[in-house]
Amino acid sequence: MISPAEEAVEAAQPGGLLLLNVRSISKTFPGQVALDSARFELRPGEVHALVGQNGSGKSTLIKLLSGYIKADHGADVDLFGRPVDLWHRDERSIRVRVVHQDLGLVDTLSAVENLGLGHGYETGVSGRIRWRRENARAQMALSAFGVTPDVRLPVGALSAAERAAVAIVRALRDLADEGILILDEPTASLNRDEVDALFQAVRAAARRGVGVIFVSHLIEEVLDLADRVTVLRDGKVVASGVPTSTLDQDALVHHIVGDSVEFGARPVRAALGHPRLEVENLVGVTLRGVSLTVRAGEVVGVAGLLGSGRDELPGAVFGATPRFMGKVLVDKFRVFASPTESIRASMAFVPADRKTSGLQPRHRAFEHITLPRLGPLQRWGKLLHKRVVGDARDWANRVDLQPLDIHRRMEKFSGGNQQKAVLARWLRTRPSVLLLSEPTQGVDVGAKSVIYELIDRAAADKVAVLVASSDAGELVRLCDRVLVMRGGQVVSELSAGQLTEARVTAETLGRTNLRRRQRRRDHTVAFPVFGAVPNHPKPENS
Amino acid sequence: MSSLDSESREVKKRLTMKRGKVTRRYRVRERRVDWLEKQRRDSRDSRFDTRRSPFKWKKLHPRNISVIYLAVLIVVGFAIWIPDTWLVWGTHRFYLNNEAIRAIVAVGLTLPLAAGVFDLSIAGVISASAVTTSWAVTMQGWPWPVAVALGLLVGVAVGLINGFLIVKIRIDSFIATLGMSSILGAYALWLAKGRSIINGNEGFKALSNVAVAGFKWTFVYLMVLAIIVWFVLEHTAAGRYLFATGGGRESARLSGIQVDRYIVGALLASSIAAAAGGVLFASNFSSVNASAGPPYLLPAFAAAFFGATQFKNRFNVIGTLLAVFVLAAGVKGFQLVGWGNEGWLDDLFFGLALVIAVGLSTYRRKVYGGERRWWYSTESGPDRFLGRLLGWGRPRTEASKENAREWWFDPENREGHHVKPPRN
Repeated sequence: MISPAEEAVEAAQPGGLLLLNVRSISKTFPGQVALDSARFELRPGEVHALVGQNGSGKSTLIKLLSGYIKADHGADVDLFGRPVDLWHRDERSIRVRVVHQDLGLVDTLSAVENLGLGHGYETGVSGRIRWRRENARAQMALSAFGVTPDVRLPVGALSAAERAAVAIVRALRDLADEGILILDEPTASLNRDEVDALFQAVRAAARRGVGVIFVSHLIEEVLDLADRVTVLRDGKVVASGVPTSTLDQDALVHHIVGDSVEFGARPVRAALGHPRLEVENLVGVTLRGVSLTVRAGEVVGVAGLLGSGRDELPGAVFGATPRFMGKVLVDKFRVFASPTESIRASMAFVPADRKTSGLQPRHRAFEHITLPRLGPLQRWGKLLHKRVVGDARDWANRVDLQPLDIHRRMEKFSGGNQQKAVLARWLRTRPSVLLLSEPTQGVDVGAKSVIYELIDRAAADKVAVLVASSDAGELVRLCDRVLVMRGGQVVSELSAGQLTEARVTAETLGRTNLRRRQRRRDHTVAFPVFGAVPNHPKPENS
Repeated sequence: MSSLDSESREVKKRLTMKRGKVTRRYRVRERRVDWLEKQRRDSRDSRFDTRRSPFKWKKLHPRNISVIYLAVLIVVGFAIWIPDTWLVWGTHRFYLNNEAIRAIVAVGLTLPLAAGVFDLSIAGVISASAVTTSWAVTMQGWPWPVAVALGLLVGVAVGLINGFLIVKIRIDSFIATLGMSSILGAYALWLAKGRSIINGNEGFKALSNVAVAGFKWTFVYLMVLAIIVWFVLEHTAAGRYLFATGGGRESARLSGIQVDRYIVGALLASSIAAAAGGVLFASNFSSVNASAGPPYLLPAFAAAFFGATQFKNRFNVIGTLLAVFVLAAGVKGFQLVGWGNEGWLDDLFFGLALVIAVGLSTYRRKVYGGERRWWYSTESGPDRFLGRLLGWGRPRTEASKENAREWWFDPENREGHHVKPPRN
């Protein structure tokens, strides 16, 4: 009789039993192929990384594996050596668990309570939960992962690493040491030490014979943790199950980015005009002294990881999120930090979060498009309905809204068309500065090219455009210049000659993550470099 | 943005006009060309939106205009049942006059509801302004215009305080106005010393006298208020901003709308309308005490929500007015028949109508595409008896089940939400 661990190790040899063997799986969404006959295999006891850019099909594959969406006809998947239909299946017997980026814990409940969600608790007389036994058990389970939190505290009060451990323990509780654990970008909110703790927990899980699928953007972490790597690009598997021992960072970046060009080339811009938008020493929630200039007719990109300030910058320039310091000037005139003032100064802002801050879902398209500039549509204070509808139709036409029904509610348009309508709303205000945050997030390919074209045309009309995006290809396609942000600051600037997808991705990730994290911690201690406030109230030198 | 503009119809029209100045014939030909182009464009793409107005026949479905069907049913029904009392103008004038105060409050309430905030303080405002006004007229002996101004001032003050609490201190509107209502009720009790105040001032009473054609002034005020609110909500930029605020506050803020001002304005308007209702209440009924307001609260909300299910699926004045008066007509009819004279019919009718109207308007409107109503759901639940019995819902094939499930979960497939599922 051999132990499960030994069995797992034996099975992990090439040619042994595969936990998961996806020979071919595809997924088509209306207007786009998200995943095109992908291959994937997972051995027990291995950590298999799944990498790729945004929209490359990683999350689609995970959703398919976890039974969240249904694959196209003809999927060929073996699970535990038997063919399986991932859609019609018994949830209990399938033993695939996903830990998402936000971990899916209930912050107000304690660790014990979280662990018991979906399982129930051990109860005594009259259904009373035997808290002491539950606590002890939870403590034991967590200590196996190297953390010893007080399991009675609300999960929100635990450290990030402890929370990650709780999430993993909860997932493993279902798997009973044989199954598949999917980690979907678990390290996004952790610092280096916590990442190390998490990795130890993951390795501990893998040693028990669990197959781990690890999704991450950070190349160094992938090379650090994973045994093998599968790379997805544009819905296709470009490298399947490559052992990490044979890979270095450059090779992996090349796999991820490829050298495909879509959506045409960036148009040749006319001579740039005067500096239209000037931002000086902007300090926000995550921004720490950002200065930049955008000239009329120029498209400037902002690259960076989540939390680097990239996602906050356009909103902070617009005044949508608070600005603690710094100036914003449009055509040399200073603009105060409020959306109303910014619009008056002819700025326009397309936020990343379309559903909550981009549009009113229940409103009709014509109301949506005309909302920020109703002035010319009224006479003696009365809105002229014909003018409203005519103008809206005109703009819907220009941005190629599909279907071209301006009386339809915004919530009923597809994501791409919602975004087109949002752009129409803002282009209609005749902006001189256009601020875009993730302009093509959740947008299909067709709409994407329309949006690119609209941005190009706006630039041709002497609009200063600032695009913040997590998609390197998009920045390369659109921008004359890309600012790379890390830790709330612009750390480098890539001019037109240097703009390649690989370069942007590499700069964004920072070749050496360790040093980057170190550097960021330095800033929090001694910050007088930019004369701005440090991000915690008491600097240690005071 | 010159190149975007060069394609706009507006610019093209302007260019055409300029050229048209040369000769008339040229202009006519240009127009003809324009028209031809439009025809061609429309015929090329049938999805092109050419409708002059968004009218569709399905707008006449009971789920959109149930109040109209109800009105027809009530009028025709009672005309057959009790023709000699029902087909008298006085009958109808009676409830139109009687329900005017309730309608004033309800119409005022549509404004904050459109802006996405609740105003529960209207009950307290009615009590407070009614008691304040009659206290000033009767117990202090002040001239009635001063007293009326004082009553309205209560509304202004409460509206501003509500606005301050909700916008500045950021208390949830439901809680802030609920507390305010309670405080105002206490104030009214304190001012009236827990008793009723009997009005005797003729000038004050004349505020709700008969004005024209048997209609009281109250009804006239209502009409004026309703027209103003209707105009503001439907035909001005301010109305658009109010609805935008209600439809998504953050997105409205990012569109440059000064959301806070509109919320305060809407609360102010509803408080003033409620205060006016209170003043008219004091003028109409000779005896006023602190319990004047609360009976108006729920009917006003019910009418506003009922109205919101009518015509355009958002809060609107016409729907609200019709809700108040059609239901009043029903109650009156039954009273004439001899039912419910004890007063219970009123509430019963309102509650029933509200539930049925809202139920109708959400009936079969699919949530996230898949699930239907539980009582004939094809997914699970008791479809085995009712749905099966009546043959409703989709046939329970594997394919249709998959479709439903996929639509429910698929975040990309926003289109699926309104597409009918394939019949097997």
